[in-house]
Amino acid sequence: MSSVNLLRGGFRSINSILRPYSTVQSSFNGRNATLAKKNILFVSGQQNQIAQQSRVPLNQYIRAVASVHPHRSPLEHDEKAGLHWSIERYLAVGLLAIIPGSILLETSVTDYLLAAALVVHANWGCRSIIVDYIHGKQLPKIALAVLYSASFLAFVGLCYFNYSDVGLSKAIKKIWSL
Amino acid sequence: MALISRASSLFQSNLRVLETAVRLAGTQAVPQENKQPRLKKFAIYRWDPEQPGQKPYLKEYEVDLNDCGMMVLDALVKIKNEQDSTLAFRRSCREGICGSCSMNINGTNTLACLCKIDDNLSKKTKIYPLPHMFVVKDLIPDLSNFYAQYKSIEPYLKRKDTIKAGEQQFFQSEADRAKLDGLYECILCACCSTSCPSYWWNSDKYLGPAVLLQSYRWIIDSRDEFAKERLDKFRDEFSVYRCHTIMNCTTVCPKGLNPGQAIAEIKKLMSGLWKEPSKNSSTVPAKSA
Repeated sequence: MSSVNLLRGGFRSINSILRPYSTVQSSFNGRNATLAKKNILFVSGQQNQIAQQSRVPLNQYIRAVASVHPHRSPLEHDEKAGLHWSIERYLAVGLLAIIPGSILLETSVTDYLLAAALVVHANWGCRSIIVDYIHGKQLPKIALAVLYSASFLAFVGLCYFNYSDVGLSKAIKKIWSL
Repeated sequence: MALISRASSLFQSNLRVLETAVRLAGTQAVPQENKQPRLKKFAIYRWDPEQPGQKPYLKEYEVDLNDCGMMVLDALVKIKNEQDSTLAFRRSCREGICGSCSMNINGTNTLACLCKIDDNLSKKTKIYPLPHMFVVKDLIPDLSNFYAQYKSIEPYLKRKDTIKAGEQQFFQSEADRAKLDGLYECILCACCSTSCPSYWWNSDKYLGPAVLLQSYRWIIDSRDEFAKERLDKFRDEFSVYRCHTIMNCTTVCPKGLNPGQAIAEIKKLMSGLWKEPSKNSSTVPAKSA
């Protein structure tokens, strides 16, 4: 009995069940193949008689064993991913200087710098949350679009505040003194 | 002749003295008559794929700790031997070197053979399979994705020269060998990867701490010549960069390793701001005489 017959037939002897794990798994294309009833055929014929007594229905053995999610990484090459990580670190370190600097200096330049840095920092943080947790084909795109527009609005809002009001650093001081 | 027989009788009597001494010592150490049974409850995750429609449930077992080894694995083996032979779990070496018995005990991923049973009898010990893995049966997770990821990093020595395997040996300085300490000890028990939320949500694309630690082990190996290529394989948003350094991996590692640091080192090398540690010149293969 050829191995192809064993696999197609849906029945196998105990010996063939005890084959190495990888062989058992690779002989199926995911879960559907193992659960579909129509795949179970009673193979009869003289060449099977030796194995007759010890044969067991295949679907009793191969059920949850096959991984549903095949391993997908590494994905398409993306040189920017690493660069993005580095820039994020630069900005995070830069914020350590920008925040106290703008509060001390209270100039309009540092106010605009602070507004931009805070928005970009928050945007990247939220972006990585979306990439982590929001899965699917369309949903991440929608979520990212919402995030980018929200970040843009926040930046415009902060600029408007800097332009028409006391400015970010003075506002922070006022909130602090409450 | 007489001397020999006297010597042998002396030896026998000595042996008898020794035996009684051992027996006495034994009874003194464990006075078995008036000992209260110390019953400890274990709640164990059960799921049988052969019973269609059955949902996973917790089953409780009681074990007398006076009559059981001190580790959780001892209790599991005792339960399987004496109470419920249908309980399925992986185990092999029972001393923390094979990595088979990794499971979630009282909310922490660890090796059952290295986890001491909590003496507090009023508390149940809860045992689950490794979290966020497909379950094959009871405490047995499906690690095929984990192994496929391990395979994808090519965890073996790669050279650019053509030297026949087994013909020459590669020298390595003591300093270069020392760099592998804290990396080579990993037993791939998957405790770290399955404790990582990033791995829970993105295990199809993110490699996870265990596999990245192993990858770093080959990247800094002074004998390996493919460090750059290995790093270049990770240049996408998911393989490495889903690590946000929350260090669950390092907290749970039953071998006391630090996968979080290894991933950070990989990120440093990938950024290009840090250079690979210089590989010692004694890397060159020794010419066979």
